[in-house]
Amino acid sequence: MIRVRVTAPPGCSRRKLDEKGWMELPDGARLSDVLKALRMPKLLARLLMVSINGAVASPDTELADGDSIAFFSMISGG
Amino acid sequence: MKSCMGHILEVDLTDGTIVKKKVPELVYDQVLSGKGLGAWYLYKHIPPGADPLGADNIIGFVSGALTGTGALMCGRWMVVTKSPLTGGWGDANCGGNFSPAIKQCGVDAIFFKGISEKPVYLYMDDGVCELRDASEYWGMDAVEAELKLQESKSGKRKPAVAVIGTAGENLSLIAGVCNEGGRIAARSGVGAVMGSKKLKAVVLAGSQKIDCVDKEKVKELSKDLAAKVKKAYPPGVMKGRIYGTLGKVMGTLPLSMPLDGPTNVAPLRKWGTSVNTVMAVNMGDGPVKNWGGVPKDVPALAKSFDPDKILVRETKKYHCYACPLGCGGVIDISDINDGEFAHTHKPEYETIEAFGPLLLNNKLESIFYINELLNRAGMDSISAGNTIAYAIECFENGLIDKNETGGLELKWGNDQDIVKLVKMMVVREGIGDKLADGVRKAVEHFGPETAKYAMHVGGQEPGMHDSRFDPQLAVHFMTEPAPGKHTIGSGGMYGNMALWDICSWAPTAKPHPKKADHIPNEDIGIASCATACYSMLVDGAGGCYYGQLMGVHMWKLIDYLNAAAGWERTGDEFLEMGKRIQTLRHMFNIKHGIKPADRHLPKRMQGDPPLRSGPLKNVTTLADQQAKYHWQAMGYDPETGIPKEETIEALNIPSLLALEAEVI
Repeated sequence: MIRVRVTAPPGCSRRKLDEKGWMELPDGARLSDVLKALRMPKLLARLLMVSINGAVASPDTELADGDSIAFFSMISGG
Repeated sequence: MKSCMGHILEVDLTDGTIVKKKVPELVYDQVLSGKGLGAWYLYKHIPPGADPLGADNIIGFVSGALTGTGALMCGRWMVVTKSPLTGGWGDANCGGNFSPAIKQCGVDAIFFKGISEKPVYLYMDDGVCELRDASEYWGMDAVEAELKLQESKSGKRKPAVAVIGTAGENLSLIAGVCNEGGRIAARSGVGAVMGSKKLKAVVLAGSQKIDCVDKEKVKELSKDLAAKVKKAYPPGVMKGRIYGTLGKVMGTLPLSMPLDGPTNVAPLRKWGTSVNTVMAVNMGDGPVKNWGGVPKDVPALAKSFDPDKILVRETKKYHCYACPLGCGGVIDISDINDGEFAHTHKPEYETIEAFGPLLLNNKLESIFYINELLNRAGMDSISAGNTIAYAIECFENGLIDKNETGGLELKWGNDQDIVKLVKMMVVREGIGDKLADGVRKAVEHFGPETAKYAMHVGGQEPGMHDSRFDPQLAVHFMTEPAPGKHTIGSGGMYGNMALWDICSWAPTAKPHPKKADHIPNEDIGIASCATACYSMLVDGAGGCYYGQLMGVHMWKLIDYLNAAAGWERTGDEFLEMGKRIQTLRHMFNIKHGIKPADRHLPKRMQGDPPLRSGPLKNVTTLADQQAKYHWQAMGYDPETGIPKEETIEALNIPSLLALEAEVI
């Protein structure tokens, strides 16, 4: 099994996320499996710039343990 | 701690003595290096009542506990002192290349006290450590002086230089210390303290080795981080304008959503912090028109501040020491003002915002030019922008007239007169003399009726993020010992960092209605406490704010520290260390007569009265009430903000303060 962190936008299903936002998946799981678990349409995921560890990723990307999946960004400071 | 050098240098500028001392190991064990070491030393050695610009004040240049170990994004150096701007704890933080240079000279910090009779600089390499005459450099701007001072090296190695410009020499209370031709430790008026001591520069050319316990582990962590950073770059089709649109959406949504730290990497790599401007203004994070305006007040906001307009001028990327991100850059400005300057460091968001939307100035070229003027003068762009915004609003309301401005039309968006005013502030000419010490001093000149236009907290002008947009930021602006700083914490930062992954008591951030942020409560107090503690840890390590923003799951500070020191400490134990550093800084303030509960946000920054339109429409933030929850979580008296005796005891601070550095 692998664990990935998911920062899910509102409106998604959080059912498969634990209290701290982590999701367990079988080895070899892909980003599309996360989107499915969140019940998020692939097209919407693309529009929201889905990323793994900050890099824009396609749904068929294989996930690694500890990956961080998110949907948009904001910067502060400077 | 093996990754620290174990020594400090004490320089008395009055009699010219230089002493190297050994720091007790327990100090590093309890507060790391960086601000922690600085707070330990300054608390012990600056007497209460010391004049910040007098001989009793001490100014320290401090490196970080992880600097030079191979840990990435850990190359920050800090200046620590009693601030002439606030009268309390002062510090400023900078990237560039100066942090490893301190350690390569065999020390973790260099502390200066006294006042020299004539301008001097400290030169240090592996064989030489001496004060040298700086008369020929006095009067030079920071860029010019740095280049000249590098030529003064005794050996082959190119020195790293921390230097003041004319603003510091002129004792401007908003002066900073410069490095690398455009990086600046800007806040707290640290440059004025150097100027008061007639210390033009610190020039370091040592080559000593920096060690750590588990080099392989540090290397492994860095390799993993570098690989992730390398992958994160925006797709070619993605334009900077999209962030402005995103800001509009976020400003409209009634929900607040925690964001994932790693998503900051791609835009920072491509555009740097300037990508933030339109987005921040649109969502309500970026203040407009001296904190009293709304996004639609900024003429052609999206077009004027399109980050691609800055990127197109970039001639090279700039990376601070040991940084894979490279959010900095150098831009060509040879077409501006008859080519007076060939280039400037890419202006940061804070500078663009402070001289753009805050002044309703949409002439980007004028901001590039001002950026270089301020970098050369060594003046804080945040404080300078806020101060000019104050002056414009006073002028607009008839509280300052043309006689006082020397004929300048101080109007919103009048870029030409804004540039002239910056030049006057730098050399303390005319009205510039009255504005060169920030807004609190300016109110003393122009009268108490102007105070409502002076945006400051405890004397320091706030960073360019709106306290009404992010109430946790409001709390940090107020409760931070060096008030008004935007880099200590905010609700947005808290979501990015994911501290709950390393800390058992840090609450998990979840999507929630924005309105809930404005209702003071215990959970927000615990979150802001955790953020302040972690920020101190970052500064003790010499870490970068943007590493911090990547989150604990990408920039693994705890793992780095354990590997470098050979520790097996938990996140909770490390946050306790952060709390110790923060509490020492608070104790410094109390020792010097600061009453924490007396520091408030200006009414306008609280939303009193609230704005009538825009993303912050009808928002009022109850920062004073929320601060009490923050104090409580820190173990301080919630009414006074003074650390409780039992908290000080539990943090082992008395035994820490009993330790002395020993002459070797």
